[in-house]
Amino acid sequence: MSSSKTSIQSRYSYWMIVPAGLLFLLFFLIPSVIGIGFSFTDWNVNRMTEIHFNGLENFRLLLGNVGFNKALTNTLLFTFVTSILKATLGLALALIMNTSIKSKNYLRTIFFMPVILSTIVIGLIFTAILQVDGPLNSFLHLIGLGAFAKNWLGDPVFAIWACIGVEVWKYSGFCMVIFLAGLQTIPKEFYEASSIDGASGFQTLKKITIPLIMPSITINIVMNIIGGLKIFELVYILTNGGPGFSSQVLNGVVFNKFAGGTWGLGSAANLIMTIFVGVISLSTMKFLKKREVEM
Amino acid sequence: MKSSKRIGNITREILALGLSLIILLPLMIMFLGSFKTSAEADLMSLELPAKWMFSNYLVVIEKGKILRGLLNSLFVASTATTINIVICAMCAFILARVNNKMTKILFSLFMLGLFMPPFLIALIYIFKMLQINGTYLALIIYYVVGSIPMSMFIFMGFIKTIPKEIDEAAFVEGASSHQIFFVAILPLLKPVTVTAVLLTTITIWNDFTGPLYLLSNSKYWTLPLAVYNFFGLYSRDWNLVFADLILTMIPIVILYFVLQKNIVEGMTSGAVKG
Repeated sequence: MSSSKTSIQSRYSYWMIVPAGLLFLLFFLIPSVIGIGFSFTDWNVNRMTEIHFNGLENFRLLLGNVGFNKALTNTLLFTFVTSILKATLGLALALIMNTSIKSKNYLRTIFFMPVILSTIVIGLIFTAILQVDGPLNSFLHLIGLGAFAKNWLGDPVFAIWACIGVEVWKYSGFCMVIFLAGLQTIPKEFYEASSIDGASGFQTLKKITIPLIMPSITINIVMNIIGGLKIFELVYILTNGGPGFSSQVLNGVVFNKFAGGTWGLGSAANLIMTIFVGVISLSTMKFLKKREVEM
Repeated sequence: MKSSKRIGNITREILALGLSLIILLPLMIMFLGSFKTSAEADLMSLELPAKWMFSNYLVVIEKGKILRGLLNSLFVASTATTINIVICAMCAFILARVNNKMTKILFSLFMLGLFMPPFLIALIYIFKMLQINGTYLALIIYYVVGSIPMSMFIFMGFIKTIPKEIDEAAFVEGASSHQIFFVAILPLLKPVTVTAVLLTTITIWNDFTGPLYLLSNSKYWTLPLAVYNFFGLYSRDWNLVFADLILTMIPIVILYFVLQKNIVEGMTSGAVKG
């Protein structure tokens, strides 16, 4: 009876929404609105009571600043490269794991472990490993690739790439697990039919596997993009945006402005970052979801 | 099995095992280094220490304020996780069962939090106005709210699979909706609650950004910040830094080995359901 359905709906007491809703409103939604508002002011910690609206001045200052633009391009570079590398490596590992190999449990344990370790631990381990005279460079010399032994954390050209490498090291296992779950939804008959038809491994991959794991691809890519655009801790610990600002990222600029007391600028930088995250992740998600195939 | 298939399998296995070394080697260097002397550790080799210096760990526990950091992390993580799970399970129940404009809007707002970064500077302003900036309370609130979107998402997805008939039958008996939730629904939520608890706890435990922005007083520092500070003071002594890192890793690694299946499935199922 339709009338009983609506009357049941109205018998749920809304108070159970209140704690979560209220906290979220007070400590996430309202700060967001206030933050957006402060983006257009000259809010400075030294003059907390004299706040003036200055329109788009903060944005002009940021976007005209060499350091900020470097952070912007670094963030986009970081996001693009890590998203693709993490997903590709994750897929490669998942494809290997999906075959009948014996050490599956061991491998899954090892590859996923960096995901649960804290960024501070991983950042400091690699601060050690990536030293100029550290184990990575020693290893490169050992196998004759000495030319590739750079000052990873101290060279303005390579610093951001060091961060990219560590991020890929940490999270490829996460993508692998998601892809494994996706691969396991493909019935074995598809592969059998494909090999009967004489398709090569690569053709099978392209025409069967990838279209069928499109949802996993979407999830991984979108999550990688969101994580990449918001990256902060890893860069802060490895290079602190240095040398100079050669490896700085958007979220790092926000922290610097905060620490420096220029809170209006910090809020503006935060707003710019939020816009990038929103626009890029949502449009990517829309684009990828369109390509998902019905089984 | 055809021999060519067998060779393929073995090659793949060797390749995968080789790749796993890329993960293992840095961790081994750290582990071994934590038992070496400062000079030995500097070499960052895979050689065993000449003498296993367990004393490194004692130095770190004393100088690295590990105990304080551990207690702070335990307090903050357990409090924030408990509050988060309780309020999200309750709210998710209503959002999953009631389908009107308001709940739809509320859900969308919660999901915003999944990708939108928090405006920390403005949040600190609010904490200052409430005069709780720099306190445990501020950090706990930050963590509770930060984990709401994911927990809400996980609980809602699961509750939707619980048949509405249970609710309807209970309503007929004259039960109120919170009676239904606490008596009938809550016991059924055990598996997904484990997932949400693990995910939230691990995220909070490992977090470095919150304390960095919010805690100026070092006595409140959670483990990540204590570790970073220790590194600042002892960066010349990699053996001590490594011991510090191992100590802070132990709780999570133990949790990981005991509950690996839950953790892996939990962290990824939250993503997959999207």
